[in-house]
Amino acid sequence: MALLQITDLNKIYHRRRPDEMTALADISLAIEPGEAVALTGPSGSGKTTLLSLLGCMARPTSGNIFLHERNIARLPERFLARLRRESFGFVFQHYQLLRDVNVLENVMLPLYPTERSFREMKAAAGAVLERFGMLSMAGKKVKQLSGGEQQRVAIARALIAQPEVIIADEPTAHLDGDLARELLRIFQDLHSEGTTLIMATHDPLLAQAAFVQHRIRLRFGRIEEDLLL
Amino acid sequence: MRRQLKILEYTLSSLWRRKFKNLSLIAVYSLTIAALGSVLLLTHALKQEALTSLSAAPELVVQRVAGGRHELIPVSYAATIAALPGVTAVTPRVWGYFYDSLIKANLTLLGIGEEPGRLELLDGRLPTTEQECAIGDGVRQAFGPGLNDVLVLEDSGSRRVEYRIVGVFASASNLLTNDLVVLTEPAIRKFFLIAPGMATDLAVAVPNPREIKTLAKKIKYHLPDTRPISRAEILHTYDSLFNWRSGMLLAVAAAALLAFCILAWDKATGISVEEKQEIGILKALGWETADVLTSKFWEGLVISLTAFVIGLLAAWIHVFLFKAPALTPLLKGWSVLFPDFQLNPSVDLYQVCVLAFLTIIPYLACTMVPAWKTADSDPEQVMRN
Repeated sequence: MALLQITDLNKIYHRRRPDEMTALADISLAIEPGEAVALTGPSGSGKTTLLSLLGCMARPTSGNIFLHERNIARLPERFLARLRRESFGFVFQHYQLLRDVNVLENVMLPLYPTERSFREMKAAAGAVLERFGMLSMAGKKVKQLSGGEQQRVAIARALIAQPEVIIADEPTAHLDGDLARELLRIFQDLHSEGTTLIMATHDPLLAQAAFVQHRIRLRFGRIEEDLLL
Repeated sequence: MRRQLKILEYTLSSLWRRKFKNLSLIAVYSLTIAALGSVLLLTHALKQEALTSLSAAPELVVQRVAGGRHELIPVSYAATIAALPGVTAVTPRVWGYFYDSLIKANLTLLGIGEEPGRLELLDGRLPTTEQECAIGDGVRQAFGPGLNDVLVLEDSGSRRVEYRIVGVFASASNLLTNDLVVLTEPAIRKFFLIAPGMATDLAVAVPNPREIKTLAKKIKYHLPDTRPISRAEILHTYDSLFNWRSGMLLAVAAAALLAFCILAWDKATGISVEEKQEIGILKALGWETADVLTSKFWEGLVISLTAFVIGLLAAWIHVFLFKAPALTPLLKGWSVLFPDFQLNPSVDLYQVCVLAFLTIIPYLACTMVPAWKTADSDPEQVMRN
């Protein structure tokens, strides 16, 4: 049984306007639990859009997205928010951290709209920060951190709610060689723990990593290659 | 509940992050509230003063008018008025205004007979001889003398007259006794050269308020050269006067309100890129639209309530501690020169509620509407923009 299954997915921006643009067309694919998926393709091929649809951050124009066989494409906003909070962890291309907020609070952000107490939130944030060697920087503001440190904070934030799926958009785009390899090691560890990884990347280091089991190549909003390794 | 508290906590830390922007917003907002609040508080306090002052006044006062001018009234008129059904007592009063060029203020000189009336003394006693007087607190502050000192005035014959101060007044209304100098009746007759058998006016006691209008008509009928003035008429005049003046002032203060509205409108239409990005991030991380709106509601409420409390407090201090230097000449008027007097703190809760409603609710709306427009979009769209 697939964890995520997509059938006939289409996404059109600015529909019925002169600047209408088809970002994704007739996408169908399946992602198994615990799979590491690399989503590749040139700029503008629809990688980020596909990640947004998979992660309930946008709604498709048509088609279906099944999570554990439940169609989530047409769910009301509050249910989608809950899925984003509980089932998906996001690592954005530009980290999308609040720069004036300290590391601890940034990591705790997904837990604010939950019934968890502050003590539980801090304990959970402390645990993920410790895992990435960032606990000593918990009180620092994000703007005081290096790019690599910010990336680790972003990953810690994605993991705090212990989601089933981690979605990462160009996670190595702003990292140099050593930091990119460190990130690769983190993702490899997450994969070995059974977390499903869906990564959009241009970086061959990540796309051809040994732990990647499923490679999908997009071009002009369509699947050009869907390869199970 | 726990979720709400955590969102409130997040909001407070978010406000603190933008402290300079928010503090300047609170400053402008407070200033607007202070301007509007000062007008309302001062108007209300003046009306209350007038009301308290007049509560001790007789139900009906009868003056004599000759050639359109207020003239002394014969004490014999009292018998005619006292004979009217509904009248329980008629008391001739001897009093007058005295302008003192030294302190540049009008004093009210009142003569008392054996009946001291409703005046309350803070210290000392009422005068019993022609060389004694009791004074209001404003007179004491203006001249500087205290109990057992001598008050020097110049009478109608331009003669220097000395009175020993034997009492200083206290009153629930400062306005009532503030400018008052109480003398014995013979002393005041000498001071103003009032002949025996004449009085300044007649105080008429009418127990049934529904009879006052009819009695006034009857007095006018029997004594055509008199002018009966009821307490209700004086109150109505005060009310209209203060309402008109406060209305004028509020029109001026509307400029401040307008400036605030422009600021609020700017906030409403111009949610910053950082704020948009923050909303996008929060939504992407699983915050619902309602959570974002709750946060924005708390943000608006904290700012507007803080500014409202500060503004109202500033207005209170301005009016009751510093005696409203910016507004007093406009609201109290230029034509009447009182010795400086202290207003009794008095707040109309209804007015405070109206002011709160007219300032807090629009600000909340200005904060929440643009946030709602942003938060209602998909997180991907917000972040992409």
